[in-house]
Amino acid sequence: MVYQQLMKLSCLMFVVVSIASVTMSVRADGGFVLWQRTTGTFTVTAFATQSPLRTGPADISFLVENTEESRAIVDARVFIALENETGASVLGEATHKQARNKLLYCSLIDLPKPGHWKMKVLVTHGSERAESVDDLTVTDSQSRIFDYWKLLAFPPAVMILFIINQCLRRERASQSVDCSYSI
Amino acid sequence: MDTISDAVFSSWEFNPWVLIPILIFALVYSRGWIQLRRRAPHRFGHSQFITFYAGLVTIVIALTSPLDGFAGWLLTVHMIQHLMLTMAAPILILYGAPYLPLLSGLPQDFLKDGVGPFLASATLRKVGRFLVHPVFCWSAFIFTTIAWHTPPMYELALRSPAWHTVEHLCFLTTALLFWWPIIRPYPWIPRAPRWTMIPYLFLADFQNTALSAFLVFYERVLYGTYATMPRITGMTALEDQAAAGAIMWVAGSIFFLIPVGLITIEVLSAPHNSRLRKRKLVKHPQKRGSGIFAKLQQGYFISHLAASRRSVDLLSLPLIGPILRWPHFRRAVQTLMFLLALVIIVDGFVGPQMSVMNLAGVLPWTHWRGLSVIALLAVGNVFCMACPFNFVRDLGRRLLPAGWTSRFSWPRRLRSKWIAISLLFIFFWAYEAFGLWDSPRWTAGMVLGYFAAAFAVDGLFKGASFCKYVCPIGQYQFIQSLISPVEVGVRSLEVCRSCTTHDCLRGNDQHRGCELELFQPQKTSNMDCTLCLDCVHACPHQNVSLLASMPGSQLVRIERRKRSIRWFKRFDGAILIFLLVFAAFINAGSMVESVQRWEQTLQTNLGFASMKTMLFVVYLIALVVIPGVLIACCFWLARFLSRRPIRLRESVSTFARSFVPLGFSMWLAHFSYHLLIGALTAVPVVQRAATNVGLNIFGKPEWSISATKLGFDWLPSLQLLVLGLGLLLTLYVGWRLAMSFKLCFARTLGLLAPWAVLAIVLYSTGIWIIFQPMQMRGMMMKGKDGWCISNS
Repeated sequence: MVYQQLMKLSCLMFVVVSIASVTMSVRADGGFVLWQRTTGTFTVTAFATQSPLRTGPADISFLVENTEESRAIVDARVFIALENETGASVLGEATHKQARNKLLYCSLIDLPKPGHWKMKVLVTHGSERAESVDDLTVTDSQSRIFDYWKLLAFPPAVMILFIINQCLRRERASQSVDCSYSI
Repeated sequence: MDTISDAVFSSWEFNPWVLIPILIFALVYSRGWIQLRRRAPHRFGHSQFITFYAGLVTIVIALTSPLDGFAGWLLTVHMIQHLMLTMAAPILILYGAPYLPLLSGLPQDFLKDGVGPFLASATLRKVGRFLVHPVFCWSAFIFTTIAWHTPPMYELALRSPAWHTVEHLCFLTTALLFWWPIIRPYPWIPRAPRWTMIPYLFLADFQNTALSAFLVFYERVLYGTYATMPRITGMTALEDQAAAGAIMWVAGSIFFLIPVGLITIEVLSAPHNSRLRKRKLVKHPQKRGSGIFAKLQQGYFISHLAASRRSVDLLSLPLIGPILRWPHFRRAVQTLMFLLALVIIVDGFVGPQMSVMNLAGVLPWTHWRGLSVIALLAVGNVFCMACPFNFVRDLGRRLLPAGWTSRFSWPRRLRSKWIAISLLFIFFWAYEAFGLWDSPRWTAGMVLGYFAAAFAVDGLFKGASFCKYVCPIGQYQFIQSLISPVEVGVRSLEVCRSCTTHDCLRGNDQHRGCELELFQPQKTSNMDCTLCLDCVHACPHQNVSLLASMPGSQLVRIERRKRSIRWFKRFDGAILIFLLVFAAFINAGSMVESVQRWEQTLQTNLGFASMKTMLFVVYLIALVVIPGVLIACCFWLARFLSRRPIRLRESVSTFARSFVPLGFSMWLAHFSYHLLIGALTAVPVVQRAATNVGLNIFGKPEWSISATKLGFDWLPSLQLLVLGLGLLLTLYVGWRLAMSFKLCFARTLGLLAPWAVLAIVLYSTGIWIIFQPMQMRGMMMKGKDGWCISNS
């Protein structure tokens, strides 16, 4: 029967999705506009998924547009260099691969320290290149409990449902006992 | 990316938070729909099946397609996404009459015991009736729509992914409620007259028109975020806002006014509609015993219960079955493991003494531990099945003259788990004190010693005394396999009742019976079972097989099978379980940097000359004294709160089993961390070992691979999920065991409460460990002077 086949297919997809969800990596998703700069022929808009940025993993994405035509450029290369006031530095390339919105170039970076950082962005497209430098403020990371609140809330939620379930069962059992006596 | 359109159309998101629930709904609905269609094909037609799936696909498109990716940039895109969630998806889903298929598609036990009480509750039924009352449905939908379109709420959703999810959930749930009285999904009986749906829809359209007109004609950008976004379509933010309003206006009006027309026609032809008349006659179906729970009790949904309880027989499965039934299967796997153990011993003694460069430093501690714990979760006690130590013993018995081996019975006084418990304690201490994971020579020596001990014990004594009473690895595997989904069991107890030879236990001329003295008809758990399958081969009736069972079900079986009950009432078994549970947390906690610093400080402060002595004291306190005190406290509190004169042995041995899932989840979280982070460490070591013996087939060792810490940013999530499931299963098993004392509700709670608190304390410790920076054991790090092993 075609529906049973469909059900089997759903089962298979469920397994595949579950496995894939375990093995997938985080992808960036734009977020807040950090700044927008027009340098040379490019207009570069920087996004971050959280504001202010915190120490630990952070994703910073860039939209590169042609200033004259206001068209997004999707075949450029974007390099990012961050330097802290204490001398710590982070280098990386922002790519489409890590971005969910494929118009963006995304870089998943690890910010080791809080404080003021200088972010240098280099965009190259064919023979053209443009560079911009901006300040970035990074604050202390929040407790990891906030990052994983869904998973931490899961056991108490199930426990509450179970307690309600048991109370309802008990209520029903006592009702049936009452009924039998009244009969 | 070649073009902008390529970039836009490839911006799909793989979002498991959307896809997994949708697939669960699809699966449950399909299962239920197939069952119901067999009984009532006129009620559950093909069109319902297709529209329900179409509704789910609509939600997937709305939430994972480029629509979601660009919703934060363009209000028009966001509006289309919202219309899909509030107009298209709910109508399609409700047309699929999902209520009964979703209920009957659930596992029958879960439906009866889990969902049943909620469906049967008079209070919740009242709440349900209130929720689908047209006045509430209309008000909820209108209020939600207006509230989420106010600038502060809309901005909140745009700035916070969590609030954005809440917004979508609000839209979807209230839209499902809104369309409920209009679609009237079977078997819901409408209480309001049909004509009331005409003003219901008109008023909704009025609100929609007002809101969309405001968006179209307002002269400023309503939502500030859109003003800051790059204009990728050429439209200004204001033009985008007006276009979004127009979409809302036109599409909304179509969705509201077409049903108005259809309902008007229906109402005008009402006197001829016999179906409607029949429905009006049945006013309160629940009172007449035709409600969902009444049907549930009458077996309406549970006709397949007996069939569903039949376990899956793995030996009957194609491909897997013939392989497992092959008489030489175990020997073949053991041979492989034996050869691997030989290679590890040789490399451990003669290879480089840097653990990360040696097979003995990598394979047993990173890969074998991780894979065996995953195998326990997925299958069962696979390690004992492939045990290389057992292989040597069998080889010796076969090669040595008869009468040289198996001369004695294992002493009656030693027939307990106390030897294994002592050996496990020594192992856990030695692992840290001697850094076994960091010493290939120690590891190789230990494996060699294991071979010697297995050969000596089983050479002298009958049966599998080493496995049952001595082997620490075996005890670990036995306890953890209590939550495995596969067990050796009998297909039919009737066949066993008529059996007089009991070959599964005693063996016969061709096959030996169970050397661990497990009698299949009385066996209720994986305890002491090595999955050797000797009983499977020995049974002349082919009545013993590998059966699938619900993980954890073995822990709550309280059937009148004396042997199993006797085992579970044994105090040594309970202590073994508690040792392994506490060791799971201590072993993982020893990797935490702050714990290591604390140990060093303690050594300095207490003036211990040797770290080994200090660790012995620490382990004695952590694995014996503290658990002992906590268990005693739980016992006394449980006794006090339940007001039942329960004895210490009874209480401890009963509730010990409930801790197996929690302990297992911690082992799984810990070992899977090592396996996943250091999965590639085996590659250069194998290359190096092959090169050393003149085999250049794998090329030169690429040591940089060892330093590749795979970017599993989802690993803490997985660990927390595993630990959470372990806690829930522990509490559930504990509850079932407490219920077996047949006390009143409050006393049952009192009996369980102290043990539940202990489980929650252990769970919290586990969370703390997962959140701490871990020592990257067995991995290389790149330093200033080249590669080095990470010890900190």
